[in-house]
Amino acid sequence: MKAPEFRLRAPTPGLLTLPWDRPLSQWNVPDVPLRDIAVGPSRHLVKFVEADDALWAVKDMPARIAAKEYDVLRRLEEMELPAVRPAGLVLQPEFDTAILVTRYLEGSWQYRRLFMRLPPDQPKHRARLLDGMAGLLVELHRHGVFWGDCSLANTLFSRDGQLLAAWLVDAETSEVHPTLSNGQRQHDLDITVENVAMGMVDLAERLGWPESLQDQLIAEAEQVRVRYETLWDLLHAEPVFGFTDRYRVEGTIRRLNDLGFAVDEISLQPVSDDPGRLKVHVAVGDRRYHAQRLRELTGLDVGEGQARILLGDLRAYQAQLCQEAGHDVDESTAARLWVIEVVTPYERVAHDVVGGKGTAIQAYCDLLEVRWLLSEQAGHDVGTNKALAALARDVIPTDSAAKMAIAEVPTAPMPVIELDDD
Amino acid sequence: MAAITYKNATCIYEGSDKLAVDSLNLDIEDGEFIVLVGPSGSGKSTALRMLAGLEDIDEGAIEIGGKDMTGVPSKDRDIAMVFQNYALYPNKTVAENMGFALKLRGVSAQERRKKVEDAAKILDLTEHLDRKPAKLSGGQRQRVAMGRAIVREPQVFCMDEPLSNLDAKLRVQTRTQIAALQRRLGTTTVYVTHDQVEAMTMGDRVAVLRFGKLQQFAAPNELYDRPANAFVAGFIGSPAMNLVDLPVTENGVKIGDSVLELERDDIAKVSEAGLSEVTFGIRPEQLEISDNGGVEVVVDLVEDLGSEAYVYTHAGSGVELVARCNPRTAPKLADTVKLRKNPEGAVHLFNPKTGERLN
Repeated sequence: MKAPEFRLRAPTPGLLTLPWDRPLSQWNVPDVPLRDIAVGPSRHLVKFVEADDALWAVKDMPARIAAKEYDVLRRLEEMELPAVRPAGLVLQPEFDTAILVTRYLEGSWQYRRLFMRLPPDQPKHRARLLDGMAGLLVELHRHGVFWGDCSLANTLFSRDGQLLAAWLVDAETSEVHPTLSNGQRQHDLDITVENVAMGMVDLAERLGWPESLQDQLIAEAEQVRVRYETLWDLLHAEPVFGFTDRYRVEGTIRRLNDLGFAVDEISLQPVSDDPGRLKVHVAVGDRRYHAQRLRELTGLDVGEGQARILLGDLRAYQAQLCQEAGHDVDESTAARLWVIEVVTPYERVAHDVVGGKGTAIQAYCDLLEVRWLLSEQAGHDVGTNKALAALARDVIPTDSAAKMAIAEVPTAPMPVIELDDD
Repeated sequence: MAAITYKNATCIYEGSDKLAVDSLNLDIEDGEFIVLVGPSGSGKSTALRMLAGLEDIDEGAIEIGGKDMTGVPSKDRDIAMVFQNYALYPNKTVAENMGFALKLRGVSAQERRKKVEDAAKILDLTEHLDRKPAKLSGGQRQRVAMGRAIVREPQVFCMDEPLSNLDAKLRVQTRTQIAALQRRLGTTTVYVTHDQVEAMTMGDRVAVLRFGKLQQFAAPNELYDRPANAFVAGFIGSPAMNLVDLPVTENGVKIGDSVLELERDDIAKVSEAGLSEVTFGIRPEQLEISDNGGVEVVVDLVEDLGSEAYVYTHAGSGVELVARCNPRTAPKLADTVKLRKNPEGAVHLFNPKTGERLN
C-alpha cells in the first residue's frame, strides 16, 4: 500500500489521526467524528469532520485539481480575500485521488438557510445577499482572481452589521492572474448572473413559492450585474477636474470611504491635451476603512459593516458627552468611555435576548438597528430597553437586518450523524 | 458553424516581458475539432481565451466566420464555453436545467422546449428530460452540462481542460462522448488539454504549443510519425520517444562502442547541415531486442503491462534507451542484450542546436 502524502498547515493531533489511509467515501461515524451539514449538489464528495474543537470540510477530488485549488486558496489567503482558508492537502496515491481540507467558516450561512426562513415578499433581504456577492466578485476581480463558477451554492454568507459579507468557498475553477481582462470579468459576471438566477428559482420551487415570482427573482439576479458594475466603475473612475477644482478630490475619497474602501494613494496628472485639467487616479486599498478606524480608537476588531454602525453610535455618544460636559470631549476619550459604559454591558444583554445567536457585537448592532427603526416609526427615541424587548420578542420590522438573526442559528452546533439501523 | 483563423495573434500579459501567445497562425476549418496541447505555460489556454474574448488580442487578429473579433465582446462572438458552468439544480428537471440560460436570454417557452428536445435527442437524454438531476448517473450529468452549451447552437464550442476535474473512469467515458457528439453536431470546436493522449484521441488536428509559440499543427498520426522538432517528438507519445544527442559517423550514429546505421539520405542531410552531432530519435516500439547485431545495453527495469512490456536500458556510454517487447520473452533486470531498429522502424533526426527536424 502506498502511504498518503500530507501537506497540513494545522497539524493538530485530531486532524493527523483521521483515517487518511481510507477513501473519503469510507469515512463513517462513529469512528470518524463527522458532522451533518446540508450542502448543495457538488461534483465531488464533501464531508465535514470535527477535530480539535474545530470544524473542517474535506473534499475528495483528483490530485491535480485538488493541488490547484489548494494553491489558489493559499493565494487568496495571502491577499486577505474573503475565502475559506486552506488547511491541508492529502494525496492518496493508493486510490488515485486526493483530499482537500479547508477550515469551515463558523457562524456562516448558506443561502438556502436564509431563504428558507424569510418570506418571499421581502426582497430587501435578498438584496443584501446579492450586494454581498457583487462586492465579493469585485474584490476578487480587483486582485486578478477569476472565479469561474460563482454561484450561491459556492458562497457562504456571514452577518456584518446590516450587511451580509460573502465568502468564496469553492475555488475549483478559479485562477489567479496579475490582472483580469474586461472579457474575463464579463464572462465571470455572466456565469454569476445565470447561476444566481437559477439558484434562486430552484430554491423557490423547493419552497413552494408562487411561480409568478420567478421573473422577479431573475430580475433580481440580473441586478447583480448592475451592483457589480456600479461598484467597479466607482473604484476605477478617473475623474478629470480643473486645477482650481482640485478640492473635489475629497468628494471622491469620501465616496470611497463611505463604501468602506481605504485610499492608498491619489495621483493627479495633467491631461495631455488640456494641461490645465487634472486626471485623478485613486489606488484603492482594503475594504476595511471603518473597521480600521474603529480598531484604532477602541481596539475592537469587527467587520466593516459592523464598524460603520458602531462608529455612528460612538459619534452620537461623543455628542451626548460634550453636551453633558458642556465642553468638547476628544474622540479617543469618548471611545474609551463608550466601550466601557455602552458596548460592553449592552452587547452582553443584546446577545442574551437573541438567545446567544451569532456574536455579541452583532447582537449589539441589531439592537441599534431595531432601536433606530422603532424610533423612526414612533417619531421619537424609544430607548434601549424598548428595543431590547422588541428584539427579545421578535416584534421587529420584517425587512430589518436584525430579522436575519432571529431567523436561524447559523451552522453550529451540529449534531453527530446517527448511524443507520441497517 | 464557422471557420476560425488566427493571424499572427499575440497576447502580452501585463508586466511580463514574455509573450503569452506569440504570433499564432492557425487555419481551422468549419466543423473541425482541433486540440491545443502543450505543457504548463505553453499558452494553450490563453490562445483559447483570446478566441473566446477573455484575453485581449494585443497584436494580429482572430477571425470567426471571416469576421475580425478584435474588440468584439465575448457574448457577441457566438461561442459557448462548455463545462465552465457545471452546477446542476436539484429541484429543476433536466429539461429546465438545460434550457435555463435560454430563458435568461428571453427565448420563448415553446422555442426553448424545442431546442432542449433536439439537444436531448443528440445526447440520448430524451427519456430523462422530466427527471431531476439526482436521478442521473455521473455520465448523464456530464451530458446535461454539454446540453447547456448545445441548446445555444453556437458557432464555436470552446473547451478548456473540461475533463480535468473528473475521476479517471468518467474522464475516459466523457472523452469519447465529446468526440462522438462533436462529430454528430459538426460544430467547430477548439479544445485545450495538457494531456497528449486526450489530444491524440480526440482532435482532427492538434496544435502543439510551447512558450507561446506554435510548434506544429497537424493530424495526430502526422505528429506522431513526423514530428517537426525534438520538442514535439518528445511530447507526443507515451512512453516518450528515445531522444539522445549522438556523434555522427560515416554511416550512422555512435552509441557507446556500437554504430547504429542510418539511411544514406539521412546521413546526407546531417552533413548538409554541417553537424558532427545529431539529436537521434526512435520510438520504443521501433526498437527490438536482437540476437545478432545492434547496440549492447544493460537492462535497468522491465515494465510488464500484460499485453506489452517496456524495457528500460542504458548503453555503455550512459545513453538511455527504452524498447517495447513481448512480455513473454522480455529480458530480466541486469541482463545484457542488444537493441536494433526493427525493419519498419523510422529514425527521427533533429538539429541539436535548434531542435528542427533534419530528415
